[in-house]
Amino acid sequence: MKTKMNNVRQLYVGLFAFIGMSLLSACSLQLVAEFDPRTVVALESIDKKIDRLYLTMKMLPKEQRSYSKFAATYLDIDVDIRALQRRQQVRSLNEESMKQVDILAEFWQQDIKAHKQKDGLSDFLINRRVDQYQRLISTIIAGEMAKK
Amino acid sequence: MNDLIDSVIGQVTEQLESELGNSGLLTALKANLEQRQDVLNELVQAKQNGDLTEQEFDVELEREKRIQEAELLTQEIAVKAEVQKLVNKAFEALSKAVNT
Repeated sequence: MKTKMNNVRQLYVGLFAFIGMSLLSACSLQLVAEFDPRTVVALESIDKKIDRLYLTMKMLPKEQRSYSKFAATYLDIDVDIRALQRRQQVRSLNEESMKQVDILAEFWQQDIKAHKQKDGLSDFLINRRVDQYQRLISTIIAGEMAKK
Repeated sequence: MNDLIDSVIGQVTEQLESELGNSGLLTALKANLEQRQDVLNELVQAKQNGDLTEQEFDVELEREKRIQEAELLTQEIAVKAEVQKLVNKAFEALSKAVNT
């Protein structure tokens, strides 16, 4: 009878130890989304396309910088940014990156509208755009890399 | 012009110091503002030269603000990721200690 009780006790101790270990090893804190290398690749590609667009514009005389000449490129980049936005929306614990990409999308829409309205862009504003997008995209990439 | 921007940045950082204390966030904000001093100078200059209209100037300032916001979000991600790594390392160590 005593041996049987000891066996049961040993079984319970073993069971509790097993559950305790499992809980401890499964207990992993998650505050930010997993690192997503495809997000970094997408951002680098958008950065390059935006840079190319503004460099191309800058090479042309001001009077040749009409919106229609660049409409297809604006659309192409817009599609990439929207795809990136959707990718961020489906990732859990990703609020900060989502907000950052929303800022990128907001800037892009603003620039399409402004170029359409003025049908041109000054050297000063081209320089501002190059600087702003570089900073914005670099900081979004840095945020993603921090999740590694 | 530099004096004007210096004084504005000085006022902003003073206000931030009183509201945030001497936190890491404040240090990041101050560093950002100092880095952007040249850009702010350029914008004021461009407005005075007529390269920017009043409306364009406001848009540019707003964009600078939004970029600052994005940069602070990166800081937030970095802090969260660091806390996550540290806590998980501590739990890993604890788990190893219990297992041995």
